[in-house]
Amino acid sequence: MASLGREQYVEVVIGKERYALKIYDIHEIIKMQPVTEIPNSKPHVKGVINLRGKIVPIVSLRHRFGLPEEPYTKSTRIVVVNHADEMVGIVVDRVNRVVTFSDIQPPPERVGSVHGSYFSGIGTTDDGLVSILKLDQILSE
Amino acid sequence: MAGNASRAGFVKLRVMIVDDAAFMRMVLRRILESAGHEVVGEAADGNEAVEKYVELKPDLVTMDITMPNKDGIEATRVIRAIDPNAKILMTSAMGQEAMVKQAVLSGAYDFVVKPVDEERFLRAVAKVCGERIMPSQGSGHVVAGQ
Amino acid sequence: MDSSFASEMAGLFLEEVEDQLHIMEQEILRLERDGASDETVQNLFRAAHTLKGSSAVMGFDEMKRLTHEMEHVLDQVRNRRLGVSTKLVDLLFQCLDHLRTLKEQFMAGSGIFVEIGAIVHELRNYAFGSEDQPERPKEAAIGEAVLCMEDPETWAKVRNAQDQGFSVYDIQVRLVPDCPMKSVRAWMIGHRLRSLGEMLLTHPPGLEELEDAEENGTVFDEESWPSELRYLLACQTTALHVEETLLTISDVAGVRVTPFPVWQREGAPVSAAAAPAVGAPAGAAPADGSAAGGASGASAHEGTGAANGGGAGAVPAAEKRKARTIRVDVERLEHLMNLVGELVIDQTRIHQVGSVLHHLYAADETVDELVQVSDHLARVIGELQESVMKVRMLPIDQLFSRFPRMVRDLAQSLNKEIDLVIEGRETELDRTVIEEIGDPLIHLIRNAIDHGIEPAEERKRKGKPAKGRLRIAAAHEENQVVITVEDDGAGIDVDKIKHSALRKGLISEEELKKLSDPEALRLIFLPGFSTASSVTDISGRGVGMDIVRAHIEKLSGVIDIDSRPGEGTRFTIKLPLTLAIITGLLIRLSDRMFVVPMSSVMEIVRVPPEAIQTIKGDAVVVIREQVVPVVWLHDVFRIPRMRETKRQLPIIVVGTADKRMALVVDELVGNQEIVVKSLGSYVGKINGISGATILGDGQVALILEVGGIGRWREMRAGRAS
Repeated sequence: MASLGREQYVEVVIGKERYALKIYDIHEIIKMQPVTEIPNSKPHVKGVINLRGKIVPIVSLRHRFGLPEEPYTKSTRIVVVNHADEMVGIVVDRVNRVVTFSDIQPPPERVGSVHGSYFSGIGTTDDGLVSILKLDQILSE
Repeated sequence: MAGNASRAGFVKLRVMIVDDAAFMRMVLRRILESAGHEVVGEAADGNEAVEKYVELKPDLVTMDITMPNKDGIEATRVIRAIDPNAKILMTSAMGQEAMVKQAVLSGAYDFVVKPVDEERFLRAVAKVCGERIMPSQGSGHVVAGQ
Repeated sequence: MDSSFASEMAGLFLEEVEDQLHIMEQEILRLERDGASDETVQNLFRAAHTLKGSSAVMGFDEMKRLTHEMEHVLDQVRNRRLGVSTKLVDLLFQCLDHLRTLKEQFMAGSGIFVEIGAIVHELRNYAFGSEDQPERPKEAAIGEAVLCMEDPETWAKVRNAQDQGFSVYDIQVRLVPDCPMKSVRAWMIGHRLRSLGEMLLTHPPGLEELEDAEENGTVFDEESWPSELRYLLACQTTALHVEETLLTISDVAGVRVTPFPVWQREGAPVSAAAAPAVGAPAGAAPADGSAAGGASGASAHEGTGAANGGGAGAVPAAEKRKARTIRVDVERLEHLMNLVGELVIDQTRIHQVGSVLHHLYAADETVDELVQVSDHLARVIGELQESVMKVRMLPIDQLFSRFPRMVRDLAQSLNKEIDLVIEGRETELDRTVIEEIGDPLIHLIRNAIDHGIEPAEERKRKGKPAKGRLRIAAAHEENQVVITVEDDGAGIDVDKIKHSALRKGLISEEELKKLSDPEALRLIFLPGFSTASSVTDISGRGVGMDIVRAHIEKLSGVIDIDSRPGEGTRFTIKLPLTLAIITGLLIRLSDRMFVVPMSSVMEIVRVPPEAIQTIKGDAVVVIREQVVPVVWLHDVFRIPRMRETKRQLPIIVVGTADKRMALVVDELVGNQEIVVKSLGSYVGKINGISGATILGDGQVALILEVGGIGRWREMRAGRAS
């Protein structure tokens, strides 16, 4: 296996950009679900869903990355990650594939319009560069 | 602190017994072993005591005072010179007051008086390794956490 | 595997600690109340011994050390070598506090622990003053002063050492009675002490010199050697360290290290300044064990209404019960509760599907059977739910048992005499409720002692018994728990309340005129209200009744007050039995579902839209001749209001006796048992929402927090005016 010894990531798409999340951080990936909005909550918290009897908050990175909210499509997914002993769902436009990187570079000051501190690095794949999301940072206040 | 601190708070010690009387060595060994300590070696005179100390590095030495070849005071002085942290418990007979003092000045940590009282002896042993043990009025005080 | 075993061990250990501390507290209180009975002392000894053993196993050295010293003192008490005094009781209470702190720090897992040196030191001092006569007066400092006076040279040495910044310790060492070679022992102790500092004086004299052991060592008169030795040492170490050093010498029965008072030029001791780094030394000032006794203090006894007798008679029964119980991790219970919650939800769905099928295939027997099975299942699940809920229930004694100690300490510090009556200890309620209700209750108790119950003199003048009475009671009433805190103190002056509220602008004069006395009393629950004329450290400025109320409302409870000037005050708190499963009123706002806890709902009405009027910019509605402010829940949650095309608006009247609100909703859906779930810490606290639940169709509905909606309204009203 070519990936042996290398960490695996899940490549997702938000807007036009490709991002990667460590597979280790991911609890599961589910289809879009009806989200119950929570009035007066933080702007990036879209609401909560019922994940087999558990209440899981859903976060949109579009707000964080300065993108307008778009209607959900058939390919919209919720990537449920483990964060500080809780589960949090991140809405992405699409989940592409599992990838490994032949090389990871430190993130630049900015990636497109997004501040570099949201990324732990830029990974190189056989078909281009992918920004690796820094979970703690993107989920923080 | 020397010894293998087991979780129960009891510190099992590796002890070397120095006495020219085989009977006394046997008595002390029995007391120590019944209390759960390990007797790693015995010596019958001061010279042997020094040799075996270097070899065995025990946590504690019980040291008789009057012995052939090299007496306990001199052996104590030499052992302490070799290992300033050596813990030496003098076992003295009645009437050896002056020698006990000299042993203390030579570096002995404490002393007990023969014939040894089992409980008192074990308490002294425990105190050498840092247990602060009050003399008990009832029972169950001999070793903390036992 | 290993780590889970370790955490299980730690869990068991902490539970045991909690149990033993509880026993200790009960027994110390009993010791204080009834004096030393063999049983009490034995129980205390056993608790200390048990804790020593298990803390040693856990490698928890601080707790082991402290319990070891406690055990030693208690052993002496048990053997009548030591008497019981208020000093001892206080000391034991201090130990208890330290142990509690240690336990919490152990739980926190930081590895940082409170310094126990000072308390260990005090225990040893207490143990030292024992051997034969209980309550031996301590004349340490005085005796040594005489010793110094006799010898101006020593005195000069002491002052000189102190001037140079050395601590001077008066060290008393007692040898075991049958100590052989006392003279050598005494000399050796001196020798060991000299390794710590400079020896100024010894008693018997001559122990300080002695490099020339040989010449000196010929004449010994063992008989004449005393068992008590005294040393005066100047050094730069702590008293505790000196103690530790001496206690590692065999044949030493006890050690007391007293910091020597710092002497001023003319010889008067400045005792306070003598306190060394180790903390308050008991021996520095002559401690009079009886000073604190008598004049004040509190006693507690089992209320007449209580089912179990308490005290010695109850022990066998309690022990019998203990044998038949098992410990269950709270998390497992929570999990069980969640599973039951899931079942409830699924059952609701099955029931819905059943009704739909029944509708479609009215004549089908299989559908009939499904409906029957579904009904049976509903009953079984209902019982299961109730049983699991009962497992979560704890007797409120878990909380109440903390009060005797607290009341005692408060009474003592305020110099009041209080008879504490506790009733209904066995009343059970949900453990989460017990955890949450503690703070508000403590606040009420403090207020009662601080502001309610008068000092004994004043009470006598008023013809009341000198001892004030504080009653704390719990009881079940239907599906609620009623907790009462009642005192026979000064009561609350309604006129004062009215004036105060008026002066602070909390209420207008016209509004005030309309208030009945009970209504006026409830003004104390308004934020920012205060009646206390004096500031004490017990309950601050008497503020905080609004916080108490908010706390209780958070638990979906209500609080009420009743007071008669001169006769006393009674607070009544009504709480739901559990917070995990509640009856909720499902409502719809636009296309979204919310749940209003039924415990907050006072009544449900329907009014025509024109019944809602606007007075000074505030929407109000008159219900049963009462003006009630109106809140559109849409506004609270930023949901567009529906066009008011309906002829009748559904309105839910919520709140407590003193504060009502009429909530306008779009649709009332119905009542339902719901399982309360937290939104989690990532979402955090949202004003007006206490949690969420999962409905029969899997949808998530938010649960309203009425208190938060009230605050939202007040804030908005404040901004408007």
